[in-house]
Amino acid sequence: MSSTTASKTLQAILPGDFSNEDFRRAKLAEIDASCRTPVLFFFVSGLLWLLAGTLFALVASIKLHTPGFLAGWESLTFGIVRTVHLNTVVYGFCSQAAVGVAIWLMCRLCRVPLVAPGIVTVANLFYNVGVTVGIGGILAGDSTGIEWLEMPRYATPILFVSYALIAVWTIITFRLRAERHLYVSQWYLLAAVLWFPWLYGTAQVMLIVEPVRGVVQAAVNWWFAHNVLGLWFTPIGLAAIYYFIPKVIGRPIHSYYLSVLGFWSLALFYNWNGMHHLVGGPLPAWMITVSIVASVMMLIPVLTVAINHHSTMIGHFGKLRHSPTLRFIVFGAVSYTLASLQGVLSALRSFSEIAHFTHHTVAHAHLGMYAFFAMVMFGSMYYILPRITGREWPSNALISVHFWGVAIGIVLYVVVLSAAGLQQGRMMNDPTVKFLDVVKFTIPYLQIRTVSGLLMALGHAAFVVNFGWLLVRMFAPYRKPVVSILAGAEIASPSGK
Amino acid sequence: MPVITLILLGSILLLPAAALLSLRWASRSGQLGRFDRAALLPFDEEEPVGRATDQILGDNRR
Amino acid sequence: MSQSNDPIRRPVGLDQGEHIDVAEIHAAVIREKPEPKEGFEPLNLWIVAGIASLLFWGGSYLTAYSGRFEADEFSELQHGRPVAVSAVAEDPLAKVKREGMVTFNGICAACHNEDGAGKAGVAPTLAGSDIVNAAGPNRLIRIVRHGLKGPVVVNASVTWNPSGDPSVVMGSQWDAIGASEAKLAAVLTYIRTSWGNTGSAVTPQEVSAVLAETKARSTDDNWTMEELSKIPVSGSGASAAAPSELTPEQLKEQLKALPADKLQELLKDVAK
Repeated sequence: MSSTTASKTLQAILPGDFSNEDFRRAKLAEIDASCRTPVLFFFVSGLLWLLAGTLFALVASIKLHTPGFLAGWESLTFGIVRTVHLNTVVYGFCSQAAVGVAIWLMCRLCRVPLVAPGIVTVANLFYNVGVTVGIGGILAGDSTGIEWLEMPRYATPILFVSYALIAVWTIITFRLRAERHLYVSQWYLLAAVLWFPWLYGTAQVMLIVEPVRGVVQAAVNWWFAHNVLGLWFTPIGLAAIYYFIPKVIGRPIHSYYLSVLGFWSLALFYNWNGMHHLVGGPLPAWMITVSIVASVMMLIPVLTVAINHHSTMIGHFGKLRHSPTLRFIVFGAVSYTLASLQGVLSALRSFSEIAHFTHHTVAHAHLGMYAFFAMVMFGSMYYILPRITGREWPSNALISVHFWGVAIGIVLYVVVLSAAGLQQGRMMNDPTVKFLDVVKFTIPYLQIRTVSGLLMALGHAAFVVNFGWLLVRMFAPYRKPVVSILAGAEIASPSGK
Repeated sequence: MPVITLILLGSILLLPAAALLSLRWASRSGQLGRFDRAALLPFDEEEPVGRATDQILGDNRR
Repeated sequence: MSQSNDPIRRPVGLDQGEHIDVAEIHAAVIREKPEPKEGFEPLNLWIVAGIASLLFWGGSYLTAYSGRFEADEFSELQHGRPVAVSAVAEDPLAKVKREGMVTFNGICAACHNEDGAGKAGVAPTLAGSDIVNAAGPNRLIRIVRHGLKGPVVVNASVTWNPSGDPSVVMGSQWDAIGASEAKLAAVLTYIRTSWGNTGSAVTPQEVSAVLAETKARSTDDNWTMEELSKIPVSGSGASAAAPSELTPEQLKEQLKALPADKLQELLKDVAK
C-alpha cells in the first residue's frame, strides 16, 4: 500500500484541514521550534550531569577493586561517590532527559506549539539549581541516608517547585491540544508527570520532613524508590518507544488494544511492587506477599508491550542499520523486557534469598535504568535534536562510536555482574565460606565492570562531542543539509524562528 | 503523626478517585473507542504512514 | 488457522489456503506489506488465557503465603491451624479478677497503689486489711458507692486520719468505675482475692442488693466507719444471711431435693 493511500485514509479519519499542505508543514516546524529553547536546556544540562555521573561512577567502580584509589580524599569515600553517582544520573541526567522528551512528545502529539516556553526554561534553571545544591550537599556530607532521597532537605523544595511547574505546563499543553484523540504515549506522559510530584512530595514529607518511625520508614522508602522507576521513568521511556518505533519505520503500532491493556495494567500493578525489596525483613508477611504477587503480575504489561513492539518491528529490522534512533530505542525496548523479567524473578522469595545484597541487584538496576531508560533517551535525542535545531548530526562515525560503546559496555556489565552476583550470593549463604573469600571472588568481575564503564564513558564522550558540534552548527550560518530528513523544518528554519 | 495520617488518608481517597474520574473522562470523550484512529496519530501528511524517517546511517541516504 | 495437509496449500503466510500459483500471480502484492489490520489487531486469545492464569496464580499465592493477613505475622510459612484461645476453658474467677484489675489499676491504684499497699497520708492499705477481708462485702460496696470520710482503724492497730481531717476523703467511685454493678463486683473481687487477701468473691447480685438498700442515700453523703460498723456484715461470706432470706416454700423445695441420707443428718442437727 502506498503512502498516498495511507495519507488519504488519514485525511478521511482525522479532523482538520489537510488540503493546505504548506500549512501543515509550517505547523510541524513551528511546534518543533517552540520547544527548542526549553528542550535544549534540558538536554544540555542533562548531558553535563551525565558526564559528571559517569566520572563518579568510574571512581566508585575503581574503588571497589582498588580500595586505595583516591583514599586520601574524605569527601570522595565510596559511600559518598556512589551516592553522588546515583543522584547525578537519576536526577541530573535521566529526569532532565525525560522532561525534555516528554515536552517535545506532548507538543507533537497534541499538535500545538509549546505556550510560553520561557516558563519551562525557568523550571529547568530551578531544577539545575536544586540538583547542584543537592549534589553539593551530599558531597559536603549532608546526605539524608535514605536511598534514592539522599539529597538534603534544603535542596528538595526547589526540585519540587520545578517538578510541579513542569507538570502544570504539560497539562496546559494537553488542555490546548488541537488533536482531540489521545495516543497511548500521551497517557503514559500524563500519568508520569502527575505521579512523580505526588510520589516525591509524599516521600519527602513521610521520610524527611516529618519522619514516620520503625519499619514503616523502610516500607515508604521502597515504595518511593521502586515507583520512581515504575511510575516516572518507565512511563516516559515507554511513551518514547510507542512513538518512535512507528514513527521511524513508518508503520502504525501493531495493536492498539494491547497498548491500552499495557498501560492500565501497569498503572494497576506497578505501585504495589516496592515491598519485594524487603523480602526477609521484619514486615508483616502479607505486605511482602502482596508485593511479590503484584511484581509477577507485571508480566501482563511487560509481555503485552513486548509482543506489541516486536510485532510492529517484524519485517523492518533492516532499518536498524540506518536509523540511530531505532537502534537505541529497540535496544531499550528489548532491555525493558529483559529487565522486567529479571525483576519478576528477583521478587520471588526463593531467588531473592540468593541474589539480594549481591552485585546481581546492581546489574539489574543498570539493566533497567541504563540499558532500558538511558538508551531510549539517547535514541529520542537523536530524533528530536535535528528537528528542533534544524541541523543534521555532524558525524555518523561518532553516532556509531556512541552506540557500540554503550551497547557493548552495558551488555558486558549486566551479563558479568548478574552471573557473578548469583555465585556471590551462593557463597554468602554458605557458612563454610569466609566472607573475605567472597570479596576476593568478586574482584575480577568488578575489574570487568570498570572496563565496561570506560566503554560507556567513551560512548558518552562521543555523544557529547557530536552534540556540541551540532550546537555549533546551529549557531553558524545555515547551510542546506546534505541529508534531507527535515522536510518540514527546511521551510521554517532559515527565518531563525 | 496527624500530618502523616492526613496525607495518607488524602492520598488513599484521592488517587482511586482520580483514576476513576480519568477513566470516566476517557470513555466519555471517546478515547476508548476508535483504536484504529488512535494508532495513526503519530503520523501526519508530512510524515505519513509508510514513509520511514531518520534513515541517516549507512548507504541508505536519500 | 488452516490445518490442511494438502501439499499445494500453504498453511501459513498472508495468503492462507490459496494455491501456490495464485500466490505467484500475486507476488508483487505479497511483497507489499499490507497495513489495513495494523493498529487495531484484536487481542490474541493466548494472551487472554495467559492473563487469566496469572491472576489465578496470584490468588493462590496470596492465599498460601500471606500469613492470614495478620499484622503481627512476620513469616509467610504455614504454622499449622490457629488455635482459638477461647477453646481452652477459662477459670471464670480469673476472668472476673482480670476485669477487676483493669478497673483497679485505672482508678483505685492512684491512691491505694497497684499492690494495694495504700499511700502514706492518702489512703489506707487494702492488702491484709480486716475491713477488706470481712466475711461479707456489704460494707465495702457501700464505701465504693458513696465514699468514706473520717478516721479509719485498720486491723485494730493502725488508725488513718485520726483527727478526722475533712479534706482526707474518699469520694464516691461509682461513676468513675462506670456505674456498673458488674464492674463494682469485679473490682471488689479483685481486691478481696489479691495481695494475700482471703475474702470471698463478690457477685453483681450482692451489689444490687446493697444498692437497693441504700437507694435513698445521696452519692455525696460519704460514710464514716462509725456508721458502717453498725451495719451487720452480710453477703455470700456471712454465715447467717442465706437461710433466713429463704421463704418457707423455697426451704421446702430445697429439703425435698436433698438425698435421703443428707435429710436424715439435717434432721438430727435440728433435733440437737
